[in-house]
Amino acid sequence: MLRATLKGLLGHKLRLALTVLAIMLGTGLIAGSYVFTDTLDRVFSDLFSQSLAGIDAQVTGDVSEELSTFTFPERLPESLVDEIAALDEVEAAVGTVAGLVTLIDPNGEALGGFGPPTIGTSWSDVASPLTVRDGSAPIGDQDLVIDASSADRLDIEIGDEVGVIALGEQERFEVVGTIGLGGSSNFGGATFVSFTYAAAQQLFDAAGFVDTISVVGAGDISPEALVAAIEEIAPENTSVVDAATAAEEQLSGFKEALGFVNTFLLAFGYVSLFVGGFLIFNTFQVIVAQRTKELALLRAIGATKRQVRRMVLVEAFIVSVIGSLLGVVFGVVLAIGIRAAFSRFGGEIPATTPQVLPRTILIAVLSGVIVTVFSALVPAYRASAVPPIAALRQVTARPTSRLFRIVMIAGSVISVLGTGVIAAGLFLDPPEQIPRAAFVGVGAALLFIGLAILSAAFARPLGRTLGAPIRAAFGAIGRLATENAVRNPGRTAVTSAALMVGVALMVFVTILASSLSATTDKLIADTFKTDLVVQPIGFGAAGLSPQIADRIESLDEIEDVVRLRQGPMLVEGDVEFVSASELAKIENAIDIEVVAGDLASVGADGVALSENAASDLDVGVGDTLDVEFARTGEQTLTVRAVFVEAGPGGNIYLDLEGYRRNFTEDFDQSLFVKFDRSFDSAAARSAVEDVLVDFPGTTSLDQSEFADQAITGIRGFVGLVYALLALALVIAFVGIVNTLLLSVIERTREIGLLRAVGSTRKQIRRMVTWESVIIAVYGALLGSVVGIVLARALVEALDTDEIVFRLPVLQIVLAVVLAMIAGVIAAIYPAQRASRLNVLEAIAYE
Amino acid sequence: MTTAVRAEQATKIYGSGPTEVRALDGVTVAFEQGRFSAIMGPSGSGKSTLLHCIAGLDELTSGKVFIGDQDLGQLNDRELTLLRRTRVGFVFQAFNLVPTLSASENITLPLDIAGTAVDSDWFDRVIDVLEIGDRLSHRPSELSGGQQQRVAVARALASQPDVIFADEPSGNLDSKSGAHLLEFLRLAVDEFDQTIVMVTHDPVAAGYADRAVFLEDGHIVDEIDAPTAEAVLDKIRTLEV
Ligand SMILES: Nc1ncnc2c1ncn2[C@@H]1O[C@H](COP(=O)(O)OP(=O)(O)O)[C@@H](O)[C@H]1O
Ligand SMILES: [Mg+2]
Repeated sequence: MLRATLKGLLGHKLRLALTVLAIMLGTGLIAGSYVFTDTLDRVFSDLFSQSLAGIDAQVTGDVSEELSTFTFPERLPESLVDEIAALDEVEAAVGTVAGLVTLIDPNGEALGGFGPPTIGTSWSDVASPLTVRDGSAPIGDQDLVIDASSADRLDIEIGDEVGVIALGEQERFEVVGTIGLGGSSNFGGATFVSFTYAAAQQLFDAAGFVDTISVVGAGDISPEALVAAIEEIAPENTSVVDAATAAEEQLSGFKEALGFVNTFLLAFGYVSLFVGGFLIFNTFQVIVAQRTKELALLRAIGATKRQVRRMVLVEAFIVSVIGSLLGVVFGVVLAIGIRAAFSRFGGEIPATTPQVLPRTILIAVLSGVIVTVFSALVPAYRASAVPPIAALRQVTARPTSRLFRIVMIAGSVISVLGTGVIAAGLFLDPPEQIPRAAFVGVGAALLFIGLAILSAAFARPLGRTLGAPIRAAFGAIGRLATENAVRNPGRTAVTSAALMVGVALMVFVTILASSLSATTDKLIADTFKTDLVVQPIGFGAAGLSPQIADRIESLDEIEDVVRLRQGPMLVEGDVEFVSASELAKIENAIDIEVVAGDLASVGADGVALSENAASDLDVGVGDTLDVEFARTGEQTLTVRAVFVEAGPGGNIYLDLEGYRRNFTEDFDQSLFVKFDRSFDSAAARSAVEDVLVDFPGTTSLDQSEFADQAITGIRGFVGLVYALLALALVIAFVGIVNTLLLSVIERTREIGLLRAVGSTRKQIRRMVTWESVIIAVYGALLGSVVGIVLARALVEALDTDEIVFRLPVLQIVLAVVLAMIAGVIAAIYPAQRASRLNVLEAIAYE
Repeated sequence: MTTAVRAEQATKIYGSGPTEVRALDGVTVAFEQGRFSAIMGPSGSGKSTLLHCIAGLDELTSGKVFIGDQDLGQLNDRELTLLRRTRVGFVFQAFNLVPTLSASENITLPLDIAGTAVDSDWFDRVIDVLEIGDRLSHRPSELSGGQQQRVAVARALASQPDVIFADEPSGNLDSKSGAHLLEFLRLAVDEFDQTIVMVTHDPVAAGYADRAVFLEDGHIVDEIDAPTAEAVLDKIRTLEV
């Protein structure tokens, strides 16, 4: 039986080639996600362990693990460094001050754009992994050293002058050397600069304090003993860990972030593979149909149903293993591509050999095999249902109307089930171990399968409707194209369903994005009460120096400035990003409707919540809330106000007083600036901009510019989603090619007949092309409808008046037009093949 | 009498070297206009090959083929296609019809492909003679084998071609339907002055023709005018001995 299977495989090389390609593409992104994140993991593991080379223990302010990724702990008193150094168990202890900075070139432009953050630290010759590459270490307080790889990238040479902005105004430094980290000159893509201890303390406003104390143990003292000795004298809220643990802790936050990236990429990988499933299903259906005689012969000579079934499944299995292994190779290529894409936004990620772990191969092959074999199940059962008598006479198993009805009922049931599972995932509390996203994913998969089945019922009437203009324009050829497109509704439905999935997701995201943009626009228009917003440029930027607000506030042209800050806080164990502002006057900046309590009374130990947040947390004015800050640890806040609209600041507000008390960071995120009406607004704006000249890396935006910026962010995300969905669309495209090719092979005789009675090659090509266009447009239309319905449903389900539902008609029309073009392109090869058919071979009667 | 189709020293060789097959070996033959000619011969004698070559479906290895005055060897693929579309009709042994089209759509297919208007008087006469008027809206799968072949004949007639080539048109039919179909072919010649060249190995089928040529191993070995089934059978016997 195995030999028959292998023969079958070889006999269908061409037919299976595109299936292998689809599996390869589908598993490629899955493997690629792992390869990408594993490689980064490897790079940063190396980096973190290098960054602690030569150090035995590290002392920092204590911070709970959940918050450590997002914020800095409280600083340590400088005196602790000497106390630790004085211990018998300690050979050396060095305090380091660190923070985020922006480097400015002599023209006042940010060096390397406003991309990833630049990290600045104080320099130390001892107990430090940093080594000088060229030039010297910083000696004078105007000296600066920079990592060799950034120096190269930013074209900085020893002797150059650069500006540095941390918290205050720009200060000027001279580059005196380049540095490396152990053997590496790349700091994981970040730019790294170092100053003298005194200069760093001054830059980061940390006189008398340090961020980290690096300790080298005396003799060969064990890490445990060293840590214990330091803990003995360390004040409360201090974390003392040995180097290995420190590396692990640093890595864990990073790994969590990588985990998110991985999950995000994987989701698209599974979408791609799912789409590939449709193609696989079609291929095996066609192969089984074409092998009816052979299968019947096998049955006639005594093969059991089960053996026939197994033959098809083994064939699927072999194909899937080959496809998945190729997918792993493709995944490595994708990972390199993703790295390159990330590098464009996030700086140079050091290149290392891509990490292909056994786990990656296992998961890729397993998912490939499962999806393929699952997709081949129905064809396998169909194969086993071929009666032995079919070997002797032409038995065309026409689907009976009863069978059709059963299939349609199944389709409806699966669709409803899928919708239910999605709803359950969104609105019910799923069990702990299963993430909501898994429910939504499985539900969506079921829904799409159900819709694919149901769409077989519409394929004929809708396909004919779509074909009407083609028939009108191309007569007999148009009619043939239309009839070919709908003659096998199941096959057409499955082919177009693959496209439907891709297009539906794309349309869904497009609608959400345009609705979100419209909502943002409206929200900003409704709540924006100031004339100008001042913000830092770039996502990695540290923030606004507090001096900016002070200086703007002192301008004559300005009536008022409201500061807004943001930071993480644990609320009942969950990390929440809270906003902080001068709540007494925040109403001057944004429209915020208070329903209970008083914003002005929030104070240093209070909090203001949106109605939603208050009801989620089940608290009201006067109740208390247990929270935790990175710097000050567990605190109790009193709810002093409840407001209606979340607004741009979110659901939880602290007063600026409370922020200062509980956060180490001391910079603003946004400033809301209100002009003095007695001045011309252009004059007022230029006065503000004059101030900002001294603070490169900042920008001022009026209402429409502010809205544009928010929308640009949304657009960037949508672009990323499009890029990742592209693979699924490519697979759907391959699916169309596959179906056409299989159909052309199947219709060899018919095409030969058409040629014999006078169809030109061009007419045959045209016939295949229009068939392809009908299938593609059918899929795109279904996808658009499903995408619109899903987006509408989600907006309805969110049950809020705040969201403006916006249908991007133009983009959807464009998607359909693109599908049409894709249809034309997909048909090129199959049409070519059809038109090249040898007429005689085609009509030969055996 | 004018010649509709002729072949001169037509030779067709398949393969090369030891596997070489001379399917046609210097065949010179002419088929007159307005007559029903049969090409007879045992299986493998080269009948289909000859038909394909004189119908513009296949190319000769050497020699010439003319339809009317047109030398087919001078035509490229596109010109051959247009010639088949306008001047030639086909009836094959089976699979003559496009399954997605109705009977009437199949009949007008060559005209539709060419974008030529259908002569509805002619169409009506043809379907009237072939007795398929009540089957026009049916798909091929809903027609009997005999009906399918009659639709194929109607299609071949629809464009009023110079010549209709038929390869074992009754080969897949039971004897009654087969006889019926051959009567229709006869009728097409008598009623419409149609030229038909038919390949068959069945003496009874050849009996409907005006003339039968005998092919053996790629050679024309004999011919009979106004053959009857008995005469053909006799001839076959003499040839075999
Ligand atoms: N495509 C081909 N390749 C090789 N040999 C062929 C091919 N077509 C036909 N032949 C050979 O040519 C000879 C004549 O075939 P054919 O014209 O089909 O005979 P008939 O129709 O009289 O049965 C046979 O020996 C056949 O095997
Ligand atoms: Mg033959």
